[in-house]
Amino acid sequence: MAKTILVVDDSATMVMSLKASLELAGFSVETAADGKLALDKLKGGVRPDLILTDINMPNMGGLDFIRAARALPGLRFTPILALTTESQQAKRDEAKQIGATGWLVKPVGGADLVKVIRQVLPGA
Amino acid sequence: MSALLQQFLAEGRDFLQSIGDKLLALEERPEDAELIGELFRLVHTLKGNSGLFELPDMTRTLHAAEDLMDAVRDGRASYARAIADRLLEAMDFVGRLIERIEHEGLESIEPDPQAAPLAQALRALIPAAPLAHQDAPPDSPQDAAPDAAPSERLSQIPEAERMTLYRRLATGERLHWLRYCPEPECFYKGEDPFFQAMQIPGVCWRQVREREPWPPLAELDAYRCVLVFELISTAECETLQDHFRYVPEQIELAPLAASELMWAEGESGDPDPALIDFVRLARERLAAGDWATLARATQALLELCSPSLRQASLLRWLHLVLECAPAHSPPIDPIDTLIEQLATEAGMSATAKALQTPAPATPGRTAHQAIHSELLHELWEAQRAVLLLDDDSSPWFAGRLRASAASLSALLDALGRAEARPALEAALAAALAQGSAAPLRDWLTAQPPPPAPEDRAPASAAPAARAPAERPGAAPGRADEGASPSALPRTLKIDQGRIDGLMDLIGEMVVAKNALPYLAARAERDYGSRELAREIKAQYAVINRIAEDLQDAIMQVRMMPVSFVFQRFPRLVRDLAHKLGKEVRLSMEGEDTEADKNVIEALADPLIHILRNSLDHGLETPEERRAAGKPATGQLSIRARQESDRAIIEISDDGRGIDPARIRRKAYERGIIDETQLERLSDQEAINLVFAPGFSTAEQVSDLSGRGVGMDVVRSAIAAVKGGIELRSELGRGTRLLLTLPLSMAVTNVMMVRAQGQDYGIPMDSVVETVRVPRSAIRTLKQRQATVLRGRLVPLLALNALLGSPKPPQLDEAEAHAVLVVRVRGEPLGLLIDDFRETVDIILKPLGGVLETLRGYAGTALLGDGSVLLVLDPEDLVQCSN
Amino acid sequence: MLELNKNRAIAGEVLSVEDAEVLLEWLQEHPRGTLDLGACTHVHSASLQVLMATRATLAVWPRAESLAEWLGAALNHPKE
Repeated sequence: MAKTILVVDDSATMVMSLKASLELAGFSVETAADGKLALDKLKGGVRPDLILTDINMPNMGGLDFIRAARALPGLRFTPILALTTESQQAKRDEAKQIGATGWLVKPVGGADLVKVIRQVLPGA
Repeated sequence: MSALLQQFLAEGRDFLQSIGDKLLALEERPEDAELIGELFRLVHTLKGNSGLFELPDMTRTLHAAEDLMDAVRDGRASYARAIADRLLEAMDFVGRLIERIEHEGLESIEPDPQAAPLAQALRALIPAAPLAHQDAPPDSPQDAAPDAAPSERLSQIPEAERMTLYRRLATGERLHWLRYCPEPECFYKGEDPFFQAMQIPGVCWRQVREREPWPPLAELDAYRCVLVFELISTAECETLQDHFRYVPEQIELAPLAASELMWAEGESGDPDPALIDFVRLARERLAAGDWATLARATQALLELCSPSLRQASLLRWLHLVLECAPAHSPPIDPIDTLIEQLATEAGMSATAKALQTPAPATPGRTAHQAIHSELLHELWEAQRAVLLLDDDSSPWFAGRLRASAASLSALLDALGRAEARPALEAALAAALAQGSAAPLRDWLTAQPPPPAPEDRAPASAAPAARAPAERPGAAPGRADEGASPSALPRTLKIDQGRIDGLMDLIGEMVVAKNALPYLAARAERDYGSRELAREIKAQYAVINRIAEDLQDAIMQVRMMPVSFVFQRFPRLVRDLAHKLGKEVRLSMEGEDTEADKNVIEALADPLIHILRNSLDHGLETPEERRAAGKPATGQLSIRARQESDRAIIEISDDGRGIDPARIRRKAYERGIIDETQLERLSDQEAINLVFAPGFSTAEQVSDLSGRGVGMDVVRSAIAAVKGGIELRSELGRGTRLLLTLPLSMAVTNVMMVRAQGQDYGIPMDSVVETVRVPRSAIRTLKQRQATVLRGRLVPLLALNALLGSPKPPQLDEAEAHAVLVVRVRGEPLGLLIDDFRETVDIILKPLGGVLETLRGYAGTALLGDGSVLLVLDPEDLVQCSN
Repeated sequence: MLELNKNRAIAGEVLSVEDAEVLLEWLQEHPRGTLDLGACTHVHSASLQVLMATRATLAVWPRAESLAEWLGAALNHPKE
């Protein structure tokens, strides 16, 4: 069965790019434009196999989102990858600290993206 | 153009607009940290997006802008006008690139010489960053001395394996030893260390063990990771480091040296005379460099002794070293070491360098690790959340209860509350028996929760915990989340063509629906079925209501906030004011007032023109203002609001106002008014003359507001969307323009009238009243007809005549004319028509093709019976007949 | 999906993190129970820990070679 990935990014362009790459690789993709909307989705019962989240977002940033998502039932063990940029070393460390599984550095090409996801998501 | 590129361009424009807005807002509130953060985020995101395409100039410029904003955010640089100017410049550059891509495609983008200086100018504003801010490369595990002694690392590898590895090293292959100790709580970060380990490339030996002895099963916490992975891989150091890039602190990595592998297993045997002879010979051959003899002797002795003895192991190693060595230069040190080790076995000499058997790894049980209270707390709350899930009959429900109880049991241990465990077990049993989580839930509620960690702000405390217990099954979450002050509306961007398509369909539906009353009439008239007619009418009522709702809904979709137009004003006003040397404070209100897209779009140019006028002519220079006793900074305000079905936009300034005397003079000079009017005109009427075609004064043509466009153009643009404009001005105090606009243009209510035996539609907006005027009440003045209505002289025109027909209008039986009074240029005018018909709602379509240029018509509409109604524009009709 | 019978636990394609506690429970209740990991391609670390701690008997080893190799390294405790 196709694995579901939740992509959280306030940039519609980034979401579109990630979604296209992921769908091409056979994933099913859910999207949300910020942490709050993503959290709403999760609370609404969406249970992705993996979450990709931007850090800098309005309303609810990635770090707060990761914290909140981890506390939801069924999301304790879900791999979460933070989408960061090369200049965000501190954010990456913090994300890791609060429960992210790892990170990706934007812009991330389709092949790299899928490779990293397969590294943290068994059976993908 | 790819959808992704389109999205990037559309979003890019939005971002640029927001960045511009924020920069201007920042000029007012340079200390606003939230604003600075937001600005950084926008620039950062836009830069990230640009990286998806081959746009080095754009990315470079945005990167510099991002770094500058980062410096402002960190307080390394403080916000200043120069920063805003550079950033605005840079954003303009990016905006031009976006426009270019839009019109000429991505391929048209060539390296732009402007980019480098722009980026430099931005970077010039960034103070040199202290070194601490730069990313330090992570410590290379290879540089760091591993904690474990080399021999300990490999103690678990059987000899045969070690020998295989030795052979590989001897052939020049490079091997790495790696130990991976995941942190205990790693599962809660979505990590799966076993999966990570399995993906390591080139593994030629591996071991998985537990860091500490397993506890009794009842106390085992499956979710506390105590695994240790050790392995040897052919992969490069960098590859392995990259593989563990998320957890570099959890691995030890070292290149594998051949000497580390070389140690003997087995037990010492009884002193063996053959061995003593061998050692003597070996020492001698070693000194002589006679490798071939040494090898043969080693082989011979190996065949004699028991393979489980330590001496056999040493001999095997010696044989291997000799075998793998290049023919004439075997490594002397290990051979010497092995021979001396054999000497020890033979009881010959105590001085030999001993090859120690490494002590087996004894990973002593580490002191019970201090578990962070936060983790405990979260675990506790997670169980609560699990137990709040709906009860169900799924086969895993029992498992869920057990898992939850097991976690709680482990937590009790961790909290030192083991005495509470029997009660927990009883609750679990009850829960399983009842098939409901309730007993466990009750138990949990009765328990004191673990102490909340002190270092967490209450707002962020485990959100799952806040789900009230009386709402089982409700999604747990913070109640205050919806109240976020900066919450953005959820929006969906839809191509306008699709909306228009939907609009057309609804239009057709309205038309089709209008056929039903005709059908009902026919049913009654032609088929004599009143019953059927009634049913059709009833159905019509239903469909009519739905159609109206549909229309309303689509209208809502087409609604846009005036901010769409307003948002560019701050920048415009700022730039113009700078150019003109004026100081202006722009205030805007009611930006969220909405109107139809067409109305909003039609508003842009007129509003810009009005603002330019205000800045150019209305507002004075600071010196002039001070001389007039006003504050140096002029006020310019734009307010939008909704009043019933109209949107009102008010633009006012506190500038010098319009001088009616000057207007009169100009109008007279330009021949717009004659001498008598010059004297008779009230001040207000004089001011209104600025709307007269051709009034545009010479002074008005400047490089800013000019282009020779006058207020008459503004008025016709507003009139084109059925809006009105009103000008008030007080000399020395300021000017105020009031624009009145329809909220929607989609559906037009028209009155049908009959003329020359044909029906025409007149928009109800312009209809004042319908009256019947007896022929006797019509007077002719200077060949013009007029009548008196409510004490006022109203000019009359025959619609036939306006439409170019010589036929006189028909009189009714009472010898009276049907007169439709319309408002033209604010003045009432009576149209003589043949007869009035009903009013209908229509979807107005502009005339197309060759008819487009036809004056006097607003457009056409389809009627329910399939006929086409011509809709007139009385104002235009009268104007072009003059 | 983990199928628990009287004497045999049969794992699906993945022995997941969530399966760990269920499996632990079952192995405690069925100390002689054996496992069928034939269809298994991945065992989550948490479940692996359970297999290791309970010294569970694999009646059927994974057909997936790589997993079988790694499980072998984890479950065959080296002689001390």
